[in-house]
Amino acid sequence: MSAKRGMTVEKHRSVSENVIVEVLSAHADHLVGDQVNGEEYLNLFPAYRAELAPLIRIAERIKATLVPVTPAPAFTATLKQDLLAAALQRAEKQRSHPRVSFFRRRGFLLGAAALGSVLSVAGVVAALLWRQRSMARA
Amino acid sequence: MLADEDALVERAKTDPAAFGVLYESYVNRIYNYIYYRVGNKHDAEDLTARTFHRALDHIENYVNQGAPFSAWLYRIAHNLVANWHRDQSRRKIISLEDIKLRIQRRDGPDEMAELGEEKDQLLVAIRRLPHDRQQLLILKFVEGMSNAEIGQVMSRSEGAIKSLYHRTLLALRETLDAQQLS
Repeated sequence: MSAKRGMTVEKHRSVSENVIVEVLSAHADHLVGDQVNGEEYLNLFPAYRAELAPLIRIAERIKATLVPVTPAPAFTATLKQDLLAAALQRAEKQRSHPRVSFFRRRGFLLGAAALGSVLSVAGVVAALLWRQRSMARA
Repeated sequence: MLADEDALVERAKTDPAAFGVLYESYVNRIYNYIYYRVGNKHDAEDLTARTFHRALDHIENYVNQGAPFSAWLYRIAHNLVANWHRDQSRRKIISLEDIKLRIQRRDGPDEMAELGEEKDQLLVAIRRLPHDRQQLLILKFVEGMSNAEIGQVMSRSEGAIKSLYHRTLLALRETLDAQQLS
């Protein structure tokens, strides 16, 4: 009897936890879009107010704290110049020494492996045939 | 995500100008992600530069596996940040006060003052979270990503991201309650 009750409590707890997980997720999505008032969510789910209220408050504090920052324009401009210079150098290197791409290289390796397999099977078949013929002659 | 991003990424494998367009599109987002993971401008700039140089070095081997290109960039940034944290912990164990002082020294006292006591406490509590939880909060609140997009970056299902978010809020509540008591 008590085990059955325990299972019911467990099931109930997991259902309520699922509700809380979904509500917090929806709240965060709206919070990111600046379209939400935490109180509205709490009023929609009064049964979960005690559990939800502190977590919604923390989410709102996180949103207010983790504000996007802007990198220094001098930094982004210098980095872009460096990257473009490196990319140009790489492109020139590729033109003068065309590199076989990873996939083409892999294709060559697979082809060589397949050819090797075919040759070894052919060798075994030839050896068997040769043996069969020499046995027939004998 | 950029319109026809796949074509742009393909061009960027050989065309420096196309790589420049990708850089312009994502540099702010990658910088933001790194900034909140390391907590100071100096290292954020250094790691952002390394992220894009590494992307340039490996873009030739990039294959679209269904996730947006940004997911690939975030993974590079995440790995570099993880290495940075490993190096930091090898050098010395950094106290929370040290973290505050380092932010103050590098970003200037004005910016620190603006954060305020409450935000400061929360930032310290966020930095004490495991890396995956910090990553989730930054991608959600700074980058404004949906759970599905975060799932692609972190290689987890949307449901797993929702549960992780719930557990993260619970952990923060516990830490902040303990801070208030002490």
